[in-house]
Amino acid sequence: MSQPQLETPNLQTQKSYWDQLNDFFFAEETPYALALVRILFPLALLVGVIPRWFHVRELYSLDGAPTPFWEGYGYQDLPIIFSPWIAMAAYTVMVCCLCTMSLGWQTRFSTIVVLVLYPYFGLTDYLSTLTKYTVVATHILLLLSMSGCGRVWSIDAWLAGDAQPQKAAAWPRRLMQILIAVVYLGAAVTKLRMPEYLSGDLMRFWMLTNTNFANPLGEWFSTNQVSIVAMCYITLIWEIVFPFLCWRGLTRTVVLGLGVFFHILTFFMLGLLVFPLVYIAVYCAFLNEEEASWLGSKLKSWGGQIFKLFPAGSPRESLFGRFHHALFASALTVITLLAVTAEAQMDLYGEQRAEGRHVLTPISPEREAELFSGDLKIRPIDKVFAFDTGTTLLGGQLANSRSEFRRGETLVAQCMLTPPHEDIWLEIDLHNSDNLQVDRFAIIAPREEVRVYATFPLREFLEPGQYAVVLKLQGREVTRRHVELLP
Amino acid sequence: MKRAAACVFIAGYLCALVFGVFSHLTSFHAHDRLEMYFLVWDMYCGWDAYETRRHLIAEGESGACYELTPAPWGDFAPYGSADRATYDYLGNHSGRLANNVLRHTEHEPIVCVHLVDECWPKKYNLPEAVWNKHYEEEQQRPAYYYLRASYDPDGGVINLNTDWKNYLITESIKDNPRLRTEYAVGQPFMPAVGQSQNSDNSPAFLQPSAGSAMTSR
Repeated sequence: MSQPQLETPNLQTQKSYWDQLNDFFFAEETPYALALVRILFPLALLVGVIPRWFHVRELYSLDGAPTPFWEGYGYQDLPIIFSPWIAMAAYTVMVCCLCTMSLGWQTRFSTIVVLVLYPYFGLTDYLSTLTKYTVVATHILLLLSMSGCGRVWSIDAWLAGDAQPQKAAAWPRRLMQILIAVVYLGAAVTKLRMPEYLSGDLMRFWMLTNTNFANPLGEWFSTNQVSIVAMCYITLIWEIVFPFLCWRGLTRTVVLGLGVFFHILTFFMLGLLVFPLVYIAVYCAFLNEEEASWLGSKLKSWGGQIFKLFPAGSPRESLFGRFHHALFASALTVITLLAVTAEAQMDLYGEQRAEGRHVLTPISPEREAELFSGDLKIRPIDKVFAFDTGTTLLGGQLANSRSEFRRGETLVAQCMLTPPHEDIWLEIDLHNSDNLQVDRFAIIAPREEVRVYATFPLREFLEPGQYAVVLKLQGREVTRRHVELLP
Repeated sequence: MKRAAACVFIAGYLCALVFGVFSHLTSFHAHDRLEMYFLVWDMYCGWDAYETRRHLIAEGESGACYELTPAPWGDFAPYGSADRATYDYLGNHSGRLANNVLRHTEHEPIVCVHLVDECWPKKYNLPEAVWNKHYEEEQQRPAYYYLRASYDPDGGVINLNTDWKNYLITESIKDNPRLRTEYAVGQPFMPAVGQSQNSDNSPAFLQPSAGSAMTSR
């Protein structure tokens, strides 16, 4: 017979709120989680940074067309845009520091350099560099620069040669977690203020846009309206509950897992690339000491060859250990000089070409007429974004797109208009195989309406066969969908 | 001392984050200052039903026109296939892009530069296979060319119109004869001080504003 268990008091609950808060921010921990962020986050940023290196002259220098964000706030002609070689040197230093930050070599210095240069270049080029991930990255860089992220799994730690990894206060990691939660909350606020989001239209248009990277899955998925609306609601709920459920237990696993899934989907569905990479890297801040240590050891085993370059021992006495500051500065200088020289040789604008500068050639009269025709009358077919038939409406959306129906069912025809549009007189008719009208629906679609539905009960007197659902705008046929009525 | 500094930083940082959310929620100074861009999380907005590509066209003294996008040395496409000018939603930086091309090429004297928006409904971006499944008509993409802005050769703005979406909204409102009459009657004989900025005929609330434009990123 087992002895009755004595209830053990939960020490955690006996702590005052102040003590709990103190533990939350100032508990000492080995900064494995932040080390993972430090390793992965710069690599994510490099995905966006490296392609711009080839365009530094054009995007960020006085010899190009920088588009400073600050001008929009009335700060005109601030003297902080520099000549091409200074811009190139600064950009190259930023690239190098992102690499050394990831390696953990002169970690704090590298992080501070990136903290200054990364937002600077973003703000200098509003059109093609500054995005909201630039802002998230700036916050993360600020927090990393004040953390002990270089104390483990870094060249700095290897050079320090400490037998036991140094601990640090948890607050930079906690603020990073809070930042992520607040960003989601802000995104939820944005969505709540837009009715187009909850109808799925905004996401549908985003899936179809080609101003992000390729997103073939999104284009394919964009016709699946009910799923889009469901995903919109799930995302919204997840963003609102994230700040409350991301801290412990099963809910933490669920919301973080959903978060990773969500960010991966934004790549495939919306064509975002750097944003999901940044976020997945920053998610490492949610790992506790044991989890981060385990993940780090896995990464270490995968990249085992790299770590053989850093044998255990007393590196402080080695040649590298004694001169690593000088080596860091020399490497940075040499790479920067090489980059500035290489960029000058690239001759971006082709001004040193044997045949001379580029010459502008006039466009053809046809092209000119096309560009300046001034014909802005929208074709009726372009006022219709989609026209579908089915039988079931779910959440105001056609749930099943069908072209075959049985007698006794109700045919639902849904017309989605392209916003913005004027008030439109709209007619949806059912025609038989002889193109005779057998049923009719007509309505004024006011400018604020995007969707119009017509329902046609397929009664017994309708003969089986081919039918057409005809859409007319302002009294004229615009398009039709052929459907089949089965016995 | 170090701990006290950490406490001050934590408190300050949390206050800044909370203020950002509050400001966004209540639209309280949400876009007044540059710093607010770093605190207000207003992503995922401004996605329209129309796709837009922007063309910069220089007009020479002879009357001939020259396309400046793409530049002769190739354009930078930051996030996919669209070139940099396409991301100028406000239309106030394109003059500078044009000036950069003009500075680095040979050409006749240029009188002015036009920014022309090429717009089409996004349904035409569907892959052919998906289109054929959902549409019975041919997938023939139209192009509506809308004169968005004009610049002098140095990049200064001469004329800036509302964007395509606001143009369509304005047109749909102008379609109302009663409203059009009231609007005409309501126009003062002499413009008041400060009204000269609104030279466009569209109602003031349809003018592009810095605030609304900034939320589009």
